[in-house]
Amino acid sequence: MSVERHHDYILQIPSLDSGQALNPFTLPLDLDAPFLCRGVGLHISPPSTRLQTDLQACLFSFKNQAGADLAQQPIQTPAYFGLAFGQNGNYKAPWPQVPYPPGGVIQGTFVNDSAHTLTNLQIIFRGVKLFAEGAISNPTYPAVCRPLDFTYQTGKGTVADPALVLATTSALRGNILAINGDADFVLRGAQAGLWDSTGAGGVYSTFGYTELYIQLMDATGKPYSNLPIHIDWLFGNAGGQNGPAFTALGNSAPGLVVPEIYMPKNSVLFYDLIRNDAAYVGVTDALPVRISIGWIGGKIYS
Amino acid sequence: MNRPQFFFETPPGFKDIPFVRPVTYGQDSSGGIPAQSYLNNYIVQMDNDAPQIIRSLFWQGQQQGQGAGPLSGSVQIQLRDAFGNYLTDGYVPIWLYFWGAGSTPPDGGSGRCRPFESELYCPPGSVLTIDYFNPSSSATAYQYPGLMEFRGVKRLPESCQ
Repeated sequence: MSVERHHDYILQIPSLDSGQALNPFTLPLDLDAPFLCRGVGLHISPPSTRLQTDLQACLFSFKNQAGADLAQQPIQTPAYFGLAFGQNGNYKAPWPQVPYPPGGVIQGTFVNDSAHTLTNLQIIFRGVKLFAEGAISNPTYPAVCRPLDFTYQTGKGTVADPALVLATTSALRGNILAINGDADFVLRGAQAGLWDSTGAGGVYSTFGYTELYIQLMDATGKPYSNLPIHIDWLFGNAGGQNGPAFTALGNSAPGLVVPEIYMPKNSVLFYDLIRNDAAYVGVTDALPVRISIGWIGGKIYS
Repeated sequence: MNRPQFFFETPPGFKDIPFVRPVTYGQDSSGGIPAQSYLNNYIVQMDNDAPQIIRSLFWQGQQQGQGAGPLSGSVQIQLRDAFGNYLTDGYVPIWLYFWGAGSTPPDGGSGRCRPFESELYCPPGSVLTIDYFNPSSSATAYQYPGLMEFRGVKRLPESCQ
């Protein structure tokens, strides 16, 4: 019996000029476990709006653990991804899954065939780390239990749950989702959005965010991704409808965390938030943004 | 651990038929919730002829034919099941809870339901309870209860026609 744990491997390229190719790109993997790739996505810091359209003028392919190409030649991204670039939590799903050994590398080819330089290109490989039973803490359902649909929320602005307020360039690290003592909680999806669409009378931005990244960590600090991932590429986005070009910002339905994350009662999930919107004040204005996160899943009573 | 939604089976001796409990502004309402105000214990009365199993909630918007808009996007709710169990951690903005599962943008977006996992068992004649909070700083009141559908099945004896 083995244990699957959600994980995103992300290769971040600060800048890729128009016409430039990464051939090959190389993404080294952790030593602690094999990785089963079940999804592939792309993200860029958009040029001046929230649009990701430059990603639709690129070429992409990648290789398996033996170095064999999984495509005869790099494929135009709209054809390969079918517009499932990871936004909405919708990733291109390689089938069958592509396994990599501990300490292996993911290699591939990426060509920027667009007319613009790509900034902060993220090539995202979504899947699971595969651990042997007992190798990591693996709390799970008791033999007899009663499930109850439940949604936690962080960012309420209480003493125990401070407001999540981010200036245009800022980070909030070590934020906590605290699980109550009455029942275990299983996290199946999450949704992020504005706390108040009126901006609390002009104190906060009503236009949401453009470049907001998140990294989840379990109670021991072990991360669920090697780098922070754009929050709309992990969760859905529920607050973008007020901003320009909403349809390019993200999803309005929650992204799903697969496999689900099981947390015992009284445990915590840590998460970092990093906002890099200084270049986008024309889109989101220059005010801080106050967000709230809905953690969607179920309580498990034993 | 992964498993399909709605793995609960119909018990022997019963049959399930599709069932929707709509909640509409015109039907059930009401009035407005002023800014910074609460309205608690809004009752969604279920039928009294058979158990109802609610498996999803579809949220369309504040009223029929109106975009939900930023106003109703600000509204927060907490939902209780038929046994009084809270299904939310306090008042949750509806766009984090189910607004995103509503109809077309800008009302909701995806056109998909917000599933309940596990399903909500509602005995005959039971009630679901919604508490509202309008945190808006706008002077405009939120027209409750909003336009939504609780979707699932009604569980009838197999002998029923």
